[in-house]
Amino acid sequence: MWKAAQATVQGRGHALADIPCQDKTHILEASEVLATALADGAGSAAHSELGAECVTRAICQLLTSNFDRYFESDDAAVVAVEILDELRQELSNVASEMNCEVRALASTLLAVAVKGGRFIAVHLGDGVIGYLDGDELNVLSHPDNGEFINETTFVTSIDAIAHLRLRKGSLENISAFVLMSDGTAAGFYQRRTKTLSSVIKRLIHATKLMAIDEVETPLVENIQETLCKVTTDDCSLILMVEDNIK
Amino acid sequence: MEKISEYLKIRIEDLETNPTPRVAICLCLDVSGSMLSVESGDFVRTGRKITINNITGDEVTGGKTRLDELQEGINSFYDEISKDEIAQFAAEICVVTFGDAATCLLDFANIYRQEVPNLRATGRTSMGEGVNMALDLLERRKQEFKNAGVDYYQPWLVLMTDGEPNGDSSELKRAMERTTQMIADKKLTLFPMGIGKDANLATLAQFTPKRNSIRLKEAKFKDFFEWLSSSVETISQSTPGEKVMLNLKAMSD
Repeated sequence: MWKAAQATVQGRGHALADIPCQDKTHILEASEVLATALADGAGSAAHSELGAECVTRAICQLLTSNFDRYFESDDAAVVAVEILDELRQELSNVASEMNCEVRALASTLLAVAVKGGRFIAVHLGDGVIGYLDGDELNVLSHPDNGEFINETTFVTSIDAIAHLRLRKGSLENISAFVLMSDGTAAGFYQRRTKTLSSVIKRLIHATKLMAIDEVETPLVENIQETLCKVTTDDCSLILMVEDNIK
Repeated sequence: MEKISEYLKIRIEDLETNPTPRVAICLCLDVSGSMLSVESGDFVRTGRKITINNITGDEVTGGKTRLDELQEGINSFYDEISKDEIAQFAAEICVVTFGDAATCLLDFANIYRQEVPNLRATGRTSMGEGVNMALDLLERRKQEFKNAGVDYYQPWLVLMTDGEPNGDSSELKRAMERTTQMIADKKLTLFPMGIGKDANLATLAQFTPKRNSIRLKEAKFKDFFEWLSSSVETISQSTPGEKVMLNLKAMSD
């Protein structure tokens, strides 16, 4: 039995400038699939918070509806194209409603879905996806920046398909996933060694033991109190855990 | 016994300490003899004529030279950057001067490890040599960032001259080709600034693919460097996809 907790906090920079939080998260449980997604809206895109919300909902819908077909496909490129096309169609619908260009909805995307001992992960842009394998905390997908730190790829980028990462596998000893935006990664990911902070193991452990509604509020408060002091960016985090302790 | 909810606590010591991503800024400055021209302050004409670098003008006593203004501008640049919470750790400044030769007056480092150098004007305008040295230093610093696992933003090159290049023409051509290509590849942000009425903007414009340059208004050095420091502050807090507008028009004639 898997469950997930989410936390999203507006960064100091956006609070001062009265800009809405551009990090969005979404969790969907359907068809025996638990899907989670996190997106970080692009700073310069006018409605990126709406784009981030749109793609997190859309990817969770896609992963819960098509988990088996995606997992069993032998051609990851075909699945990647299909996912990207679907996401862009959803963005196009939002752009029509908002009377704006699709690129005004630019965001990154991170998603993980689990079903029956298997997982699928999707990652485009920066942010980090990690996992707990036995007692070992590893990185499944590292941030994808360009040469410069303020460059990355968005769902709306022309070259998005070349950067979209799809991973699938057996859960075996994996009992948790963690998804984080680049704001959260500023404190939870060591860029030089490309490793995750051990505090995540403690957060995972607590999430396994506690009810989700007991986790999310203190998680938000704790992020505000510490992470938001070391970064001005929005911070978001998803902890996805198997709740029977092994 | 510790409550389970305590496991959700995040302490500052739990966080990874990532180095602040750097903004490398090279100030590539003309220190040819003409930078001793007096443009502001209280000055008195002696009635004699003086010729520097083939430009003849009135000799004066008192007043502030372009070099004095430039020096004050750089001082205020450091002051302003040191006041910002993030920019003070993000900015890495290097000063290259070009007169008779190109000189690295101050190599890249965090501003707290630097002393603002004193500029001295002399001789010709070896601009090509100066720009090539600046680009080499920027490349070397980027490699050092990579080796140390330090993230960085697109580097900046501020090119300031009050005249006409008269160094080695092949060096000048090479410098123009390098900056033009780097700007086209989005690997460099260049600020080509002409100082005073004698600066050849057409030559400066050849350092950019769009052939643009700016003539700095008289005695606007301080304003320019204050603007530059606020731009460093903005860039050092920018996130992926964020377009930072660097509009210099207010400084120009």
